[in-house]
Amino acid sequence: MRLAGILLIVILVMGGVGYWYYNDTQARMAILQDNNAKLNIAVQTNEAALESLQADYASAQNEISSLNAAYTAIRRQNQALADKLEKIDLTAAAISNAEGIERAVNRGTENAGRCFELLSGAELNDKERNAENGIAFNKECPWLYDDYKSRGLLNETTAD
Amino acid sequence: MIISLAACSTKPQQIEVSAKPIEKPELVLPPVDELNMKKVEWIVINEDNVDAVMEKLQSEGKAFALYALTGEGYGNLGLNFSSIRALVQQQQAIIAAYEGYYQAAEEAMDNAVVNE
Repeated sequence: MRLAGILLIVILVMGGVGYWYYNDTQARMAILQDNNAKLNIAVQTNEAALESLQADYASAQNEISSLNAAYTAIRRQNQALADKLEKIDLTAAAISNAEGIERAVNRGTENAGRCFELLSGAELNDKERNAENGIAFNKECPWLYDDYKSRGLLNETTAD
Repeated sequence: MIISLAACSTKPQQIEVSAKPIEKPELVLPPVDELNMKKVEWIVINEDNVDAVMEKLQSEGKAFALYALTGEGYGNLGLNFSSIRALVQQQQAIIAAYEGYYQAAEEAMDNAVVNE
């Protein structure tokens, strides 16, 4: 009888411990599963951030390449006037044909000023809108013609 | 037995992850003022036409006082303007590059947030 009582107590204690152990293990497993899910999300977030950084880096490289190409084109355009002036002796031209060179420099000055206006965002006038090529558009900045054309701002009848 | 069963009794620490994207206000800048260039009139004078130019100015009621440039000076002025124009174009190219980069970065960020 006494032995049976002791065994009953042992069984109850073991049952209690087993119950506690089960609950504790389940709780820990739930936390670990939750942690695992959060870690998965963290990994996905890190991967997305890494992809975003890689895309940013590629985009930066792309912009630098485009900018270098634009600089090369701008330097070439800027050199065009220097090349033109090298071929012309302005003093000799003024002596031999003052009227002609006067018309030319006034036209050139007006065109050069117009280039600045266009660069500042001025609207195109009819002559520019209907121009058929860069020279007809503006002799001092004919390269703007292609830019306006690509943006669809010139009349459609315009041809190269 | 109790000790062996409860060997790992300490509960694992629960991880708290918080990631909240913050929307940056859009920067909307006004455009530059449009240039409206004033008319500049050059008068080319040489030994032969100086008298005719003087008479023309006088007939128009203008005094014969002119700001003069040599042929070389005029050429240099033109080159200076051309260089300034190139500078403006380069600055515009830089602004376009910044714009392109940040638009692409924003799109990449939006895609990352959607994927998340």
